[in-house]
Amino acid sequence: MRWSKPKNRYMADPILEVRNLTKRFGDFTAVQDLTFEVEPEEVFGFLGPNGAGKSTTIKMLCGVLTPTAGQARALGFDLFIEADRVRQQIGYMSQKFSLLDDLTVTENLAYFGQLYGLQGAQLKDAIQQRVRELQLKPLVDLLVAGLSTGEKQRVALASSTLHRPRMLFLDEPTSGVDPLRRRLFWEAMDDLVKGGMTILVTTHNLGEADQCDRLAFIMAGRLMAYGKPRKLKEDLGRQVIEVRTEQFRELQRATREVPGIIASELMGRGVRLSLPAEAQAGPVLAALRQRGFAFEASAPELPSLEDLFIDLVQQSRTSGRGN
Amino acid sequence: MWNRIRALVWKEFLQLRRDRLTLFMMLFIPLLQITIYGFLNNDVKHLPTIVLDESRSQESRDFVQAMTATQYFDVLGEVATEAQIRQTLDQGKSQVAIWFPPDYARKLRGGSTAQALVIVDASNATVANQAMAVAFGVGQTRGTALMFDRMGYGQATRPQHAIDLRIRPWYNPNLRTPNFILPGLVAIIVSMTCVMVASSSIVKEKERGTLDQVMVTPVRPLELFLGKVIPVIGMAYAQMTVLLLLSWGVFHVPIAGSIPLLYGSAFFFIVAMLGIGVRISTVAQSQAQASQMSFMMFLPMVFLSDYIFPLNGMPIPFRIIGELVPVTHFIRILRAIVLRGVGLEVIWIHLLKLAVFIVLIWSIAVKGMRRASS
Repeated sequence: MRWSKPKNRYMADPILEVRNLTKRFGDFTAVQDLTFEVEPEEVFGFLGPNGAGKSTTIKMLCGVLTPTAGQARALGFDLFIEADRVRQQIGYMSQKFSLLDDLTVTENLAYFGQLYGLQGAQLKDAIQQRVRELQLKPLVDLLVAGLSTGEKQRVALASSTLHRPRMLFLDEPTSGVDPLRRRLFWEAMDDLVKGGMTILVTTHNLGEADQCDRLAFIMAGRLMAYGKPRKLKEDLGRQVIEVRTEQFRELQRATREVPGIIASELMGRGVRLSLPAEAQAGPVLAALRQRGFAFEASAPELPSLEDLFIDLVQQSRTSGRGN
Repeated sequence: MWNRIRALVWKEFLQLRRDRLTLFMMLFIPLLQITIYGFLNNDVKHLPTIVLDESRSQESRDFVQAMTATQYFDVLGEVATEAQIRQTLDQGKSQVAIWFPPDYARKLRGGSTAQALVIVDASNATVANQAMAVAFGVGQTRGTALMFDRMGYGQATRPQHAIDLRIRPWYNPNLRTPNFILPGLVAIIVSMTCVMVASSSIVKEKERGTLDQVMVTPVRPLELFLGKVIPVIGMAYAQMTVLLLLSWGVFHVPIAGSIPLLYGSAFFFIVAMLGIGVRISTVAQSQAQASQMSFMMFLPMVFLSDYIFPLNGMPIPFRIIGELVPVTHFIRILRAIVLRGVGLEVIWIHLLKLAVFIVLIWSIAVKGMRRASS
């Protein structure tokens, strides 16, 4: 079959192209008509609430689940027809970390390394390198069953990258891990990308999503938004102003009567006001002051991914009602 | 390919080494079973017997003595009434009662037919059958001797028997139970190991999520199967060796035929049983479900395998099922090689049937594996 060329010619050819990917389990459609591309050496975020179809998509791309419909092409091969030719260049780390509990860390690494064809000195070097990079030295002879979640996560990352895959799929790699470990994990991911790896990572954490080069936002199996985080925020067509005041509840109630405010929500002891991107903030703030409120207002900012998320949830609700 | 299989096998052994419970069960259960089954006996000698002798005569005492001389009946004592017979049998204190009516001796002396009654507790049919046959034999022998006496023949002038019937129990001349039970037990224990271990193997990884992790590697389903199955084949052979050594060394079951042939045909059987186990493993959703399913398979297989209950005596549908069960054929192979000492010229048909079974079960299992992973 022929694949359409990417529209933006200035970008490198995508390392992964997904077209109309669909997965149904009986009557339930887990993933519907997903189309997106992943560029080489980027961290591509797959964002969405629990049950949105993120893991299902990753499993299809890794060849663990068979899709109901659609195509995917990675590293020049058809993922669903020529899967055997790509497996060697793909790494997968599942949500459950999927290590063998009753084996030690070294044994786990040796096991998975050998399944990818590593042997002898090559295997030993690969293990040593990963152990060094991910600071696993003190853990090597411990049984995996006794490790903490954060330790298991690092061992799982090591075992899924021993064979130096060009494309790495990470399914919720940082769930259940403390913020410090999370940051260290993302630093490790950055190192891998600098070494030439492409990473597709799922998350439901908006902070993590912000760090991705590009994002696909999926909800109930559908692609809702797709692009660079900054671009997605700009596309909302809004600016956000934070207003700090003692009378935050009253002020929020009052915003409903002020024209030019798209949305307002309480945040701590303040209110977040959403205005159209092209609007001037001055008249709106003056209108609020006129109603007797005293407050400090921040400079207008881009909306956050959270704003996008809430907007998308509301969109999907209204479109759901329309059906 | 072989490097990947080696890694899979190596990992199974590492896991087994740390899984003390399974290791213990694999060694202990066969030992326990062979000990129990080895000392099992379905000889029904020394049955507790009571006598109700209303005749109180030399003749009745002679008959009781002839009965005890067979060693099948041990007379515990005498009872005085019919009610007491019922009582001791009801309570299980005795299993046989011999009852002589008051006119027993008088009728014998007078030349008419004397009656005696032997009552047998037939709740265990095997015991009852043998006891009845022996009692019947004693009655016949005594009866014939007394008849010759009546006809006036002396000890010396008795006529010859018309038929000299001689019975030779071949292949197990001393009618030893272990010779019959232990070779079959090898088949039962080996099949239990194969089905139980293989059935939990893949579902265990499915449960822990490690199966997906293996499926994304270049490992092919066939390699995964081989990695799972090779360690179990090793275990099955180890068990078989231990069982054969014990049954030969401790229970004196001689192995009449070729041992290489025995081990060679065992391979067919092991692979067939592993097919069943792996099939269960790809269908089951959890380890608990897998062990339930193997247990459900296992009992009917044992009952319909010709192991203890002869298939020949069963209704046709059960005989057909029995013929489809691999255990049946391996038990026949075992008995043929171990007891009858015959070779390939006899067992080839069973090997062929096992081979057909292997092809069928494994094609179903591999197909199931593809679907399970999709």
